[in-house]
Amino acid sequence: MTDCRNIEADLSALVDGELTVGRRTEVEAHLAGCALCRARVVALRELAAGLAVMPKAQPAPEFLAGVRQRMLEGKGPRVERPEKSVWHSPWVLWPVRLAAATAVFVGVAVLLTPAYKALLRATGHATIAKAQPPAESAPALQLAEKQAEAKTADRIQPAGQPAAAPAAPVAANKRAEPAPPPIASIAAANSAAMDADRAVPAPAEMAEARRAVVPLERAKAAPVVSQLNRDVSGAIIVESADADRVRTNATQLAVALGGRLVSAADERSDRFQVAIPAQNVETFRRRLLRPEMEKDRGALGFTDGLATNEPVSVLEIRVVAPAK
Amino acid sequence: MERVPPSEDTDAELLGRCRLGDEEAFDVLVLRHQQRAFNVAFQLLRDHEDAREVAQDAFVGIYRNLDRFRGECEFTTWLHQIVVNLARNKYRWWKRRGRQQAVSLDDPQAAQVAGTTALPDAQAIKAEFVQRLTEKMTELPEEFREVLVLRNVEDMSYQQIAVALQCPVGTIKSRIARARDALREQMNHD
Repeated sequence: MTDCRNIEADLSALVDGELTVGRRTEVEAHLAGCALCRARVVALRELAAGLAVMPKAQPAPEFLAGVRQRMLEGKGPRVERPEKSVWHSPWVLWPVRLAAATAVFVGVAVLLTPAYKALLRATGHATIAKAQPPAESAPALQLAEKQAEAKTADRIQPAGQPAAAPAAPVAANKRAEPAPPPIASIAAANSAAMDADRAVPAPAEMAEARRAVVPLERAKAAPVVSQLNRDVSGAIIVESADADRVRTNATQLAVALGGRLVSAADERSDRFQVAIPAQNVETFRRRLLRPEMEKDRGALGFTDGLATNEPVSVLEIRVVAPAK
Repeated sequence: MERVPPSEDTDAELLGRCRLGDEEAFDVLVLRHQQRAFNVAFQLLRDHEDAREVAQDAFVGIYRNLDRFRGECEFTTWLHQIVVNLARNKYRWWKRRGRQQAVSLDDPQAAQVAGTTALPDAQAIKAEFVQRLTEKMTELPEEFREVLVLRNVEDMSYQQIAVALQCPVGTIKSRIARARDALREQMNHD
C-alpha cells in the first residue's frame, strides 16, 4: 500500500519518467485513488515545464578566443594531481612526518645537553675553529708539507699500480679540517690526532726538515733574494739575508737538471758553486727565464744575470747581504 | 558566436585527437558545447561575467586534464561536473564577500522575460510565471538549484546527474523532489 507521505520523491520521479515499470504501476494505482497526489503531480509538471523554458543564456562570440587566452595566460583551474601514490596516504605520510619531527627534536635536545658539550670539550672539537693553528706554525706547516709530499707521491705513482693507502695522512688531515667529525668518530679522530702530535719533531728538527723539503714555490711566500747580479768572474751574485735558502733552491734546481752542488767553503759560506752539465746550462737558464718561473724568479730576486750565449758549465753563486 | 566547424567526430573521438595535440579538435569541442556550459553556469550564478569565466575555465580545466578522462561517462557529464564545481567555488567565493544573488531587471535574460507583458494573456501569464520561477530559483540552496538546472534546464537523467554530482542516484532523486517542494513553497509565498 502506497502512503501519500512516502510518495513525494516518486511523484517527482514520475514527472521525470525515472520510475521503474513496477514502481510506476504502483504509483499510478495510488494516483487513481488520491486527488491530492494528482494535484501534486500537476503542480510538479507545471514547475518542470516552467523551468524547461527558462531563457537560455548565450555565450559571447569571442568565447572560444577567451578560452584560448586563458590557457595562454595560465589562468583557470590547475591540473589536479594524478593518482595519489601510497606515499601520499595519510597512513604513511603522518607517521613519516612524526618520525622526522621526533628526530629533529631529539637531535636538538642532544646538542643542548651538558654531556654532549662536555664531550666536545674533552675532544677539543667544541672550539675547533679557534683551535686552528696559525698558517706558519710548525705542526701545520709540517702537515701541509706531508700533504704536498703525499700528492707528489700520488702523481708519480705508476699507472696501474695502486696508490698506497693514505692512512696516516688521513688521520692528520682530520686535524686540519675545519668541520668537526661525526660524533661516533670523535674518539678515533682524537686518538689519531694525538698520534700525529707525538710525531711532530722538535722545532730545530722542523727547521731542518723545512729546508730539506721546501720547494721553490714555498719561497714565494717569503722572498729572500732581493737582487742577483754577475760579477766579472761570472759568478751569480745573490743578495739575500737567507743564504741557506738560496743555496737550497739553487742546488735543487741544479739537481733537477742533472747537476750538483760543487763546492762550498763551508756550510756557512756565502759562496758556492753549482755544476750544470753543459747541455743543460741553457735549460737551466730557460727555467730561470721561462714565464711560468717568473714569479719564482721574482720571488727569489733572480734577474737575468746569465748571459744568453755564454756557455757556463759551473755557476758560482755568491750570496751577499742586501744593501741597507 | 563562432560557428561550429563541421565535424562528424564524436566527442570521444575529438578527445582522442586532443590528447594527440590536435588543437583544432579541442576548438570543435569548445564550440560544440560552449552554449551548454555557459548556460548551466549562468543558471547557477545568474551573472554573465561569472558565467563566462566559469564556463571558459571549465574548458581550460578539461584541456589540462585530458589524460584523466577515461571515457567512463559522457563528455557532457564530465563538462557539467566541472562547471558545477567551478560554479560552487564562485558563488561560495561571493557568499564569503556578502554578495546577494538576485536577478536584475537590467539583466538581458530578465529583461527578455519582463518584456513579454505585451503578449496575449495566456502567454503573458506563463511568461510571468517563468520570470517568478527564475527569481525564486536564485533563493534556493545551491544543492537544490544544481539538480533542478541539470534536470529541467539541461534535461539530464538522474543517472547522469548522479555521475556529475558524484552522488548516488537515490540521493539525486530525493534531492530533486525536495528542491521542487522548496521551489513550490517559494512560489506560494508571494
